[in-house]
Amino acid sequence: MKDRFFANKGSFSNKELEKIYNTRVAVIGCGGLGGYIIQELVQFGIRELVIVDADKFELTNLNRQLYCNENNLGLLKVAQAKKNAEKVNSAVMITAYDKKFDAENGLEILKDCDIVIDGVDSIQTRFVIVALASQINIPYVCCSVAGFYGQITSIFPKDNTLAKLYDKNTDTGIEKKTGNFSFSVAAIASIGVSQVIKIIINRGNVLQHHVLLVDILSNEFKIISLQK
Amino acid sequence: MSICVKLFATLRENRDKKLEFDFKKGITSQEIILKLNIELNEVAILLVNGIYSPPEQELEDGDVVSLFPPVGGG
Repeated sequence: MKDRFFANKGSFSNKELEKIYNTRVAVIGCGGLGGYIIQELVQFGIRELVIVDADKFELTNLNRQLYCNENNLGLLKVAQAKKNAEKVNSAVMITAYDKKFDAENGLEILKDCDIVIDGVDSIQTRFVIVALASQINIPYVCCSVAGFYGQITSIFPKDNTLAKLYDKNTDTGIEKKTGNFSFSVAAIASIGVSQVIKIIINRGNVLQHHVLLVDILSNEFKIISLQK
Repeated sequence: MSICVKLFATLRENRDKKLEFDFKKGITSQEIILKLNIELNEVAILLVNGIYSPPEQELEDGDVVSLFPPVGGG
């Protein structure tokens, strides 16, 4: 009998799918990357999500943020993400926090999650995520985007990857200049979600100690090692 | 000595993506970055011959230096 996840079954075993469906995923940031990440996780079949974002949709989000439309400007991103994701699967359990993820609330938010993925716009927040994920021993898929460019890496507890990608004293990168737009955001989010799925089932290549650098302008996909 | 510098993403704007230079022996990646009028905080990842390297590392003849800017948006 064909169920809603019938098309997953050609590439994943039943055991793998059960494992994926029963994983509790935290998504920090529900804007550009986060919207696509949430949508794809729910479409795939994740049953439990924790989502976090303090912001409300505004006019300039319309060029790229999946859940932003002309009718929900001024409304909380987490509430809109939850509402739209539940339209895809009414059985999905989404815990939404309309607050900025930080060192104070982070442990409470991440507790009971099996993995965390981010789509935040703050390098400082990524350092908070990596510290807390390491503390509670869960993997962290770190995604970021800037204009035509993006990068994805998978960070496991105690890995020192993030400090090799960013200066701890900065909070933003070239996105302040390049802006962000729909196709780059969707592409990077999708690769990030694929990392989450592969980590859960422990199959395929995971970008641990490596970063995938994507340059959509030049059609370049480059994996670099961050190990000495 | 001959050094090849490869630039990525926005560091290519108004510059070639691959540059070849003759530099004095003992030059560091950091000095090359400044010679290219790139600010140090514009470089997030620095590779020498494909290996993650510190900016103060002295280079050898034939080294390839790759520079990537910080990408931090969501």
